[in-house]
Amino acid sequence: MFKYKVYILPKKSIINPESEQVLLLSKKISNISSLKIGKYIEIESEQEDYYNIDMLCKNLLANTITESYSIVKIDE
Amino acid sequence: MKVAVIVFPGTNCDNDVCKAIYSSLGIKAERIYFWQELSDNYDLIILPGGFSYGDYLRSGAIASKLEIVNKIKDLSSSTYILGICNGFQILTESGLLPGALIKNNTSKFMCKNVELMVENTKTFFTNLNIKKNIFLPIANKEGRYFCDKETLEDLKENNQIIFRYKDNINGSINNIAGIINKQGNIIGMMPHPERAIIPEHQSCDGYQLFVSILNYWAKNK
Repeated sequence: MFKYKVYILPKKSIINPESEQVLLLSKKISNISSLKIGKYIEIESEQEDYYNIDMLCKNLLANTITESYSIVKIDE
Repeated sequence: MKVAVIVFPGTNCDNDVCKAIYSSLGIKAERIYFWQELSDNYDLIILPGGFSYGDYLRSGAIASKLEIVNKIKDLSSSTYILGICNGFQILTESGLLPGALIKNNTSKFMCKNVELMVENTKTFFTNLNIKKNIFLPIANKEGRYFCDKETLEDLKENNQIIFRYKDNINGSINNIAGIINKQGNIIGMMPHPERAIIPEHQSCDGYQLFVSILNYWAKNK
């Protein structure tokens, strides 16, 4: 079984009110300068096929107009 | 004129749209459920508002991959298509309209009457004595229109922006509330015209928009 992690984040150029609000509150609690909220998806596949996962991200999991994604393969 | 109203799991404005079509055009719209087959003989296909598939992943993302939406894509060159609210999100997700709809910059679900400026009065939805400023209700959390600079220039150049908010209430790029495709037969808009029909509604400006469809269709069929 091959495992992949997919991270999806809103693009830098787009104002993200959710992240901004959480950052404002977080700054009061902890000394941090940046915070981004996105999505994290775990995928399992019986075949090792990075291209297929990439296609899945492009076509469904991420909206490439507003989001960027990265795929990380988990080695076990 | 035959009108189809597509119903996805989670769609909740189909009844409002059917009633608006009936009271403005006197036509009984047919509800087509997402599992049914969409025939070729509809003159107008409406994607109503709601929360298709619970807005999972992104608003309209899952609905836009269904077989019935593929069929709508096939018909998109020969029929009029109107996407309202969640329908607009499905149209952008499926690629029938450019851009995307993201969370309002207020981070809130916004539900109120807003003033809109009608920028293009030659489309199939805005051609009949439409006032320059109209009032329609909005009800969305992911209604902020976004597109890249090139797309925005393209939209402006081809007069594809139909409705703009008078005040930028949700952070939409260029105050965009509704757009049309280049060919002029697919419209997507976030405000709800079907909720501004009868005097009991706060505004009746949606009525004329629906009558426009019949007027345009009768002239161009």
